[in-house]
Amino acid sequence: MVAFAFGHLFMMHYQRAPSATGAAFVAGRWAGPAWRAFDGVLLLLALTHGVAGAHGALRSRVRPGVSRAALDGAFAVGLGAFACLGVWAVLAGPRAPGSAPGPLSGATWIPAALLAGLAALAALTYAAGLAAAGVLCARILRRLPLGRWVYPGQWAFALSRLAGVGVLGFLLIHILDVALVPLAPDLYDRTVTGYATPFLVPMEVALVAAVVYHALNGLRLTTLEALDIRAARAHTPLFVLVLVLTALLVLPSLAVLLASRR
Amino acid sequence: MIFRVRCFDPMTDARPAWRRYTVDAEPRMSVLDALFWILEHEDGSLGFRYSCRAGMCGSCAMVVNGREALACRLRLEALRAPVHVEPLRSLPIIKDLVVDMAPFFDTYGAVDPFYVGEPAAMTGSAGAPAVVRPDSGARGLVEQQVGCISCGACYSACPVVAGHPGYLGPAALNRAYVLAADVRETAGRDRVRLVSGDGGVHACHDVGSCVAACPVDVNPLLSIMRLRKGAVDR
Amino acid sequence: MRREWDELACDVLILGSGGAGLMAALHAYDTDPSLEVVLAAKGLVGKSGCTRLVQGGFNAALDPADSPERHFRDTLEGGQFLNDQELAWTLVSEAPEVIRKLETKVGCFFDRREDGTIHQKAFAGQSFDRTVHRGDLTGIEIVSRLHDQLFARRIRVLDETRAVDLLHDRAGRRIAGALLLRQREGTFLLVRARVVILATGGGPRMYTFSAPSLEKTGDGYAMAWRAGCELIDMEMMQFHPTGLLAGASRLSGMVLEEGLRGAGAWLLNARGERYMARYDPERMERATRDLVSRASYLEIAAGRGTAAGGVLLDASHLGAAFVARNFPGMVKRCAEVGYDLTTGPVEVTPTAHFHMGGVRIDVDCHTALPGLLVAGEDAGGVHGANRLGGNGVAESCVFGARAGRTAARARAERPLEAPDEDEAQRACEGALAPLGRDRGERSFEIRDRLQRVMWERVGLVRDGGGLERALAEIGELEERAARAAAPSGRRWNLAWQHTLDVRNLLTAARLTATAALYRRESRGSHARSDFPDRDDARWLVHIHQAAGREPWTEPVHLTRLSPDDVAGRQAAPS
Repeated sequence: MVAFAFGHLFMMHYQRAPSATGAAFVAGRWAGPAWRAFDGVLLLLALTHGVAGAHGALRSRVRPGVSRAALDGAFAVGLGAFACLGVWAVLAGPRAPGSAPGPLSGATWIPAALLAGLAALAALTYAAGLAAAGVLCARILRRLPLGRWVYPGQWAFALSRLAGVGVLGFLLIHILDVALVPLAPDLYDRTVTGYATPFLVPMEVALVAAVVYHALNGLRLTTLEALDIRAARAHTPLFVLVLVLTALLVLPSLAVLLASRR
Repeated sequence: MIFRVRCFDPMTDARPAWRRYTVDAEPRMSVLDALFWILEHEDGSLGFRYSCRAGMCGSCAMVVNGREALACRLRLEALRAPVHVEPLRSLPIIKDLVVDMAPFFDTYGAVDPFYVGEPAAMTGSAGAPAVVRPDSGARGLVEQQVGCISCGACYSACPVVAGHPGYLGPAALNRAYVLAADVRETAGRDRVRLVSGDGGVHACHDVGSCVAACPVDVNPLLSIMRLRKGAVDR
Repeated sequence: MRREWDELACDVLILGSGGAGLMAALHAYDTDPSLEVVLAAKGLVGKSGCTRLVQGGFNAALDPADSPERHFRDTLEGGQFLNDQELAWTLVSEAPEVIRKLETKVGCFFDRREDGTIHQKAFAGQSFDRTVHRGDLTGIEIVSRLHDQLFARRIRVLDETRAVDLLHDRAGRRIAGALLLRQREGTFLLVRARVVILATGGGPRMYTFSAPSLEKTGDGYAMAWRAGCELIDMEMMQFHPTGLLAGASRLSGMVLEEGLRGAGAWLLNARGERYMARYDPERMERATRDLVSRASYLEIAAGRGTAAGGVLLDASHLGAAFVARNFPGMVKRCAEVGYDLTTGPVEVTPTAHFHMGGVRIDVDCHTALPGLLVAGEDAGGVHGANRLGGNGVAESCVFGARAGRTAARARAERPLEAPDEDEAQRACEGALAPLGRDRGERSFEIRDRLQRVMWERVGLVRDGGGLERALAEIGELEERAARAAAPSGRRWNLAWQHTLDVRNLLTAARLTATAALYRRESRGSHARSDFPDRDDARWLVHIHQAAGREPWTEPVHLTRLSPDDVAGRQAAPS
């Protein structure tokens, strides 16, 4: 999954800016079966991983019995629905050139809704980020203890969870917008260009960082598990390494993004 | 030396609050010594727990300047003032720095933490102690992990304990590993299965705060990793 | 005043959760699993107490080349023949079986030799290397594993519930239970029991430098005294030679284990001399604790001690790697207070460590009071005038087990009596008296003064005049303690609990000083500068004390071995 995700990320954020991946680009990519298979596999891997993670995190906080059964059911339904939609979109593929505009063409509320959703998410994220930074600074300046945040492992865990939730949220929206490729390519284009508004640019960067960090940290944990005692002292140094690599890998995508706006 | 202690009496106070004390710090004093100083000179109502004062019983585990530690082993010279002292996390507060260890010991008891001899009853005669050559590797990691003094520091530091009700926690799982890996126990309990369900080893997210918090150099995360692999060194 | 306590009935009430209390609980339950066993401790069960602090180890004649007879002889010689020989014989003959049980049933794992058999190390005063250990932290292993066994049995555990007093039945002839005080809520619990096992672990904390856990305040001795028990050998107070000196920290007095001297560490005065050459040239630092402690004390008193008032323990010549490998716990403790045990000397002082005296028992832990059994440090007679290192945890475990078995068997014979509620009421009121008093000093200063008085006058070297002055001052302190005050508020009131601690400490101190004054000779840990010689003709006796009587003596019964049988070392202080 890491390989697939990095590959996809590279193509969408490093080889070109995301704003350049409109319906025509998708049509070009999905002309043959290889890339469609790639995207389909990536979709299923990422969706299952993300939903499993979110489900696991929530499940323990819900009382066993009826509430848990309801939660399990809701997640199963959600997973099924999004998986089906995504796979269908991959199978249906782009509309043939010169064919009708698509059954949902003209439903301009769809890109508007998607963008509004993203904007709301962005606003929430920015506000939360500033608040968290503020609290952290206040505590440091007032020499108050930082709670469990004094441990690096706590940061690794929290950032990974945050990244995971963020990527999952984005993935769900992404499945919806990619579904527009067979259903309303013009709306898809509108959505893609909408994503490039300045307000959402930090979110683009954050998305790349999230995917990179979550993957690298996951690799870190997998390695530590495999090596167990031999790597017992490497937990924190490897976390630092992950942070450094994340920063280094995000920079090129940021450069690409900024270049595309000129 | 300025101390700020998080005080709270659930019977009378609405919420915890910091209380400030100025302690006459002398060389080699520990945080526990400072708490006694406060009790005897400034605030006779301060509540804290103690016993051996030598780092062997684990009774005085608490959070000092954000980190879990044994108050009796933390020297004032090593700390930055003002020193913030708080009770262990994730456990109900009885008074000030005294927490109710019952939830912690409940998780500990849930893994059947006792060695099962054959026969188990103390009243029967005992066989000869097992012959275990020290260089044979039969004890494996057990020697390193058996020194747990059940102080609760790891339990307090773990964010999964805080967020996942029913998670057994690093101390209990470490104990489960030590017994699962003990070559002498022939009673054949499937200890690995006991800790692989909901709230067991798979709920651990490899955070590692438990390792950093442990005052006696036990590595609970390692035990959990071994249990997850089912590799119990037999 | 109304009766204000909760009630609980059970078959066996065990007070104390060290080695003795835990072994008693497990044995009582396993002998008869239908018993209702209640285990109450002043601190957290399985964590408080002094068995946990044991570093060195547990003596047992396991090796085929060793024998209980040899262990017995060493014990008697160490005890200067003041031991109760039947108790001592019970100790040495059952110790090997207890070790086997600890390994095969409780799950302890002791250090092994190359060939996989249990390793036994050298300890002072023994003719054979028989000390079973786990690194230098043996006690943690034993108590933790015993505590784990509680989870497999239906034993009721009462944490942080101290005993205030033992209670008699209405006729006043037997023990019918105890009045307990829950530290968290500050409320009382009246427990009715067929048998009460007292295993609170004595503990000499009435000295300026002492080794035991901080909650040890002689509660067992004081309660036994008040209940009418006989206490013996109370003058026999063991000082361990190497207590860490750590400035103003309460860590001072904590023991650096005997194994260091057993392995060859040196004791030096401020001039760098190995002064033991002047006190015991043959055994040097490996002489028994009483000799070495007194030697250190005399060096310090003669002005040859360090500026902080101690002497120096130096293990560096054994090699840094050796020390680090064999004494890792000690290296760490020393490092934390700024000493490097592996490369240099550590400042130490004699420290009050173990009280050989206690309640008089028979081999099944019976006392003069029906319904009361005593095991562990609270009991007296096993060790005589000086305890061998490694025999203490052995005593707790061996006699704890016996007390448990005795208690289980007694169920058939002993009815469940109603305790005397007037007695309980008096105990209640007495305990509550200091709470919220308007005027009155705090008990902390009383404790500090008591510790100073005991250290100077009832310590390593005593004399008649000093002991009499000590008793007078103890009397004054007792009056002050009776008027002491604590801030109000029942819940987790440490200052209040401390006033109760100090009262018990004063009682234990009084018993010690009284017996010390009575014994006009020097033997083992008891050294009188006005009677410096050991006098078997007149003083091969136990000094008994009981409430309402003047102290009296009874001869030591030499049932198995006499001083003439051994070319014993008649050690006297110089």
